[in-house]
Amino acid sequence: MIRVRLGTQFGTRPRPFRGPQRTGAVRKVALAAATAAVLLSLGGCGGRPPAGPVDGPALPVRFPLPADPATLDAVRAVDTTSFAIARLVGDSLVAYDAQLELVPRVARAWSWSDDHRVLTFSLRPGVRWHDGRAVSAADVVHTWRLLTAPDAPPDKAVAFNLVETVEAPAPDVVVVRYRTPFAPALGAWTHPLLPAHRAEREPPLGCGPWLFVRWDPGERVVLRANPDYFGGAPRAPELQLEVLRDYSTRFAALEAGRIDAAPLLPDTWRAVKDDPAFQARFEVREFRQLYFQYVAWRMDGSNPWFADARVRRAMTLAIDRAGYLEKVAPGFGRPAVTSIHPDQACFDPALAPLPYDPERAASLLAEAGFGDGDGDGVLERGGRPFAFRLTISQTSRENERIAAFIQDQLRQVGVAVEIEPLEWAVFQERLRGGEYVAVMLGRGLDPDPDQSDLWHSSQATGGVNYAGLRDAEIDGWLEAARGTFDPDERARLYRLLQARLHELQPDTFFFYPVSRLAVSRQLSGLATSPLGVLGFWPGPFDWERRAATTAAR
Amino acid sequence: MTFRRAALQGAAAAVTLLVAAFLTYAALAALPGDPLAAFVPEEQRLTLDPERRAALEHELGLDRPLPLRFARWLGAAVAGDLGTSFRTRRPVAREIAERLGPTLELNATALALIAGVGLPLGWWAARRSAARGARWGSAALLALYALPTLWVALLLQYLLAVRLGLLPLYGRSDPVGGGLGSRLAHLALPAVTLALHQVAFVALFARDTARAGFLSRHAQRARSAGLPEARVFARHGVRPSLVPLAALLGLMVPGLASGSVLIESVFAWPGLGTYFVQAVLARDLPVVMALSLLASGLTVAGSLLADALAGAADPRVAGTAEGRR
Repeated sequence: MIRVRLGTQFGTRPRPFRGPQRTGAVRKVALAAATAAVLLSLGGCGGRPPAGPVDGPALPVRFPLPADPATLDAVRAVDTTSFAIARLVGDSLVAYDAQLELVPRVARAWSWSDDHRVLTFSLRPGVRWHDGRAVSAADVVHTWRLLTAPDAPPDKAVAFNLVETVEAPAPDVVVVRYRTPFAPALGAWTHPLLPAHRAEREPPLGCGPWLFVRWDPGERVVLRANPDYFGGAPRAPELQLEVLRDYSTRFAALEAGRIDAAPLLPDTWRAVKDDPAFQARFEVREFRQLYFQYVAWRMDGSNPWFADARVRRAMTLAIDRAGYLEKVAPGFGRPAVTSIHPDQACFDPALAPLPYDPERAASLLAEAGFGDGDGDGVLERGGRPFAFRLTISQTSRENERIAAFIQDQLRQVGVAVEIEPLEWAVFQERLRGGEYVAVMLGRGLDPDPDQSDLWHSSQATGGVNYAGLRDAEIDGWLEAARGTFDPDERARLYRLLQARLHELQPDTFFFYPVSRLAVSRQLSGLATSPLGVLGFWPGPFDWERRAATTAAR
Repeated sequence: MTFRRAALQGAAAAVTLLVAAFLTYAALAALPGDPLAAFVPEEQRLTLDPERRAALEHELGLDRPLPLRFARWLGAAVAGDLGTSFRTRRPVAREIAERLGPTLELNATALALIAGVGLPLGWWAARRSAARGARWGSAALLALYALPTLWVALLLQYLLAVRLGLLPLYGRSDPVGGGLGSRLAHLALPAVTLALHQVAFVALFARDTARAGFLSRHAQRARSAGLPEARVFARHGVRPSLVPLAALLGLMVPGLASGSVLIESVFAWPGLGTYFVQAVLARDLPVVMALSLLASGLTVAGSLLADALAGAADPRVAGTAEGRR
């Protein structure tokens, strides 16, 4: 069977009409309509400003970055900020949209051979690099070579592990051969393309909707709308990405009108959610990110506790995850079920997160042979107290808060936890050396549900299967799901995986976080997705900012 | 004689730098932590497989023994090549240069404020030490010295930038335009916040040293000889206080190239502080070494400068044959 996907010329969905942009006549009509709307709203509801932006010239959009990009070189970009910029300047064969569907970009269409070993892309005509040269299949081959070179960042190379060859039989045809059929294959082709005709990679030369203007290190990255982009110019003339590391500065900048959007933390959200003045100026968007926070219990027998499924289950039952979210960050997350995220297509809604049930936890621990013989409040088995170290990284204050919560909750069922906070480099070294009993981590997910790296037994030593789960059936499902292209069959296999993970509890899946973003009402077209605000198509391409006229105040 | 002395001082400085560099290098190598952690993103998609790890270690030169690595680094550094950052793979010299300008700009302004405001303030307080106003002034200085910088930073930012809109909220420049006026306006809040603490310290220090001289028997004698009070103060109060002050300001010189993580973060100032901390956390050896070299170089330069300043203020201190009266 051959599947072919064809996109419309400029993406999968037509762009919604969002006010005047192209012709003078339309502009005038819309201006009149907007004025009328302002007048009506003033008369009707006591001076409430209009919900949408008021007409005026399109202005630069100012958006905060939480960190300076480490590099502008798309190949080296592994941190979130650098990669986001690489995506804006560059364009890829395919891209994920806000619904996590793959949509055609530089590739007009793609098809698989009958045996699913050969993937053929046909490139869109008329796509140009920012220096005017045409994008060709040779550039795709070049990009693949760069990303799989020995000095490429390892997580990029790994995505192409099963690729045998990438060839360019014609300037607009790319043929990729895979060693075995690989269902998640297309995900790797969302990486921005790099021009074969230029050796140096900084300043970046892309073929995407945004032209690179300048980077003032530690201050900002400025991008300009590419008028020659194959999908038309972005709506905003310029994108000013402001490096604002400090959360309170970011929020102050938002309030002072220096930037057009900023994330809200629970404390700020509590303060502004009922403030009409804030609500009048900003709209708050709520979205889940493809991410989950978890504690891996090392179950490979290297410690006397967590090889027993009852003990792991007791850990999850003893920790009131919903209660934590309610107390510390109400509305900023929901208890997780497994490592499959609710925004992934194969998520099984029939499974519910384990409840908070300390009594059941206590009886499971008793069943497993634990008891408090000496009455010191800590359980023991065979004379050995149930006390262990929870290893965490100091990359966020939230990690420490969650760890303290876990410590407190487990104390109540007679388990003594010592928290071991480590800086990132040391944390990594510990994980690599396998020197941990329980470890807390967060993990960003790809839209594709393949989780072989997380759960396959081959990854239990030296991989990211930190719990050390070895389950022959899970291995089988993971392998089968990677090789099958039938979405229903894949979903079935991942449902089996979810049920087994739920039963075995190799990890306590803590929560799926929810983010909030305050967006200025001057800014329209900003969509959110499980991939964040910048990490999907069209992202900032649709952003548009027009100044509020005096009538709006 | 002078040449010999200068040569000796130069040699001592070079040895100091070398020892400092080696100790830093060895300490970094001994620190626990994976220098390749920067290649593993925090979302934990994977760990490095042994093959890639070996390739990366080889590429970054981590597979060679420590003395050899240090010798290589030293040779290159002497030749002016500070290497490439592990984390970003960009030339270290370029990355530092990008952030050194803003750092110097901020610190030099702060230092100018410290000297230009702190010293006169202290002298004024010393001369009027008996007056009630001065006592309140001293109390105010002590209070200023005790204020936590973060609190001051946020307060000034909120009052002057958010509430009153008098000064820019953050950053070193506006995205577009921005002449000298805009630059200075951007500089004002971070520089004042950075200087505030030290202004109080220097003022208190100047007050105490100047007052000791001003109340000495020499000063009394000069006064009884009929010298005007202003001259008595200049000669017996200000002048002797210059020697320890020169030493103090000399000690502040290395601070010129050091960034303040806090100020940089609150005012989004593109300085070296955050960059240095990131480099240490990522075990980015070339960057940490280059910045330590810069810091130790400035420390040595600062102490030489302090000597020279003290010599100028009081020739007895200079200790050279020519300098002696």
